[in-house]
Amino acid sequence: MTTPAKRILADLTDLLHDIFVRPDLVVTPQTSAADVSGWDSMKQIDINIAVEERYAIRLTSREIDAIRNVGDLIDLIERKTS
Amino acid sequence: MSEDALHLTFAAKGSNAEPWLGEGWHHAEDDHRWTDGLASVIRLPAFKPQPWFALTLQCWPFNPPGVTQSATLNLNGVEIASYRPPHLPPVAFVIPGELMRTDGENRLVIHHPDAASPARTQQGSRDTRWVSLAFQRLDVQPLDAPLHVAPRLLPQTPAPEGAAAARAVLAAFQSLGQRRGLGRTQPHCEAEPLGLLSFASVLPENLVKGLRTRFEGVGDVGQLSFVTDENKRFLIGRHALYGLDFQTFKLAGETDVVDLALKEAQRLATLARRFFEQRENDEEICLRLGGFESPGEALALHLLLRAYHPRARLLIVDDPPAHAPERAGRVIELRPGLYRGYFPVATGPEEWLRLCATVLAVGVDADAPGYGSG
Repeated sequence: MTTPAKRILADLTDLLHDIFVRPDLVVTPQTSAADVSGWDSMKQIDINIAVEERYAIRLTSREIDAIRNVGDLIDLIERKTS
Repeated sequence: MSEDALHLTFAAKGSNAEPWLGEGWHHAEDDHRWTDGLASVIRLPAFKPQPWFALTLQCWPFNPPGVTQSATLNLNGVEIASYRPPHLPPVAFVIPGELMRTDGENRLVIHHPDAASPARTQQGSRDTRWVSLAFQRLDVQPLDAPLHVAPRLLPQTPAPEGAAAARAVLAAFQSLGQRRGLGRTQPHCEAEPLGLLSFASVLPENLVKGLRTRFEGVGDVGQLSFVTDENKRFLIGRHALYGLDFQTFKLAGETDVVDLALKEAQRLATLARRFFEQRENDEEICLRLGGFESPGEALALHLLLRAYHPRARLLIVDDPPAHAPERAGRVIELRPGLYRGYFPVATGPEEWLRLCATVLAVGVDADAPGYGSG
């Protein structure tokens, strides 16, 4: 994992802790919605909004639909911020 | 010079109808223009030759107690429609291409014999005008294939096997309205479309308004309010501007409503942006609605949807007609991209899956030569 990717993972971990109000949540690149109780479509929108604000980027519908786990989201953020 | 299409707005703000209007109109008001007297004339331009045209009207009738409006549309001397204007939804009429002139002008006369005066029919009114219909918008556009020209009963597609396939089929649909539970079936199959209109209900006329304005102001927190659902358990959001009711899945009594309003406003704005991005990405969008009073209303909404989402499909779901109960669970293609489905006898996930899979099995651009011959 590259250094920027590690930094993004740390950011996303904080962000998911806030959104799910679960500071104990362990987040890895393999973490997906199925692994986290309450990660439904409503929460997915909250995550998208938070990511867009945090990185000042816009995520398109197609990009969002292609995200299967946190690793995919990290890759996407890396691409859009590089 | 002949036109491909024409889009007229009648409201004072942004009106472009003035040069096309003949006799029989009052002045433009904030969001409409009343007809005057018993007939109103629109001088349409010539149109480029097309096999079919759709004439879409958005207007509402002056219906004080005891008065019901009717209208007859006459194009170049030929009656093309006679109907009772509904209160808000747009209606569309199919016009054979031969009726439309390709040079000179096309004279559209709207006869409205039940015009009435507010001063005579409404207590306290000093408005002595004779009005019948308040026009908001008129569109004339080419129509690839008309409604009800050889609608065909689609072969039933089996429910997809496997959870992932089922999820994909159900997630393609955004459910409008609150009848019989596609919205409940989707979460059951873990299909939760990220859509502005998912877990929401909106009247067709408000959807049209949203399409035309790109849901401008949908993220305005001042338009939001919340009520509890029928079980007094969850908070339902209400957007005043678009009449959009949506499920928040937040428990009443345990939620800070101010904080919720801020979050929901942001969420709605994001979802509205995504709704229009689907068009820009040429993604397909499928919607499901309850019944319509007339096929013209369904066609009008479909035409408007296709103007914004060229690959949009609209599935209207009704009870099977009393004379054809065997249609339960079946789908009829009315024209490419517009379908009428009939509620299955049982409405479990399997039945919904079959209905949705049947629609998706049809190519969205099925308007190739030979369409309707089956």
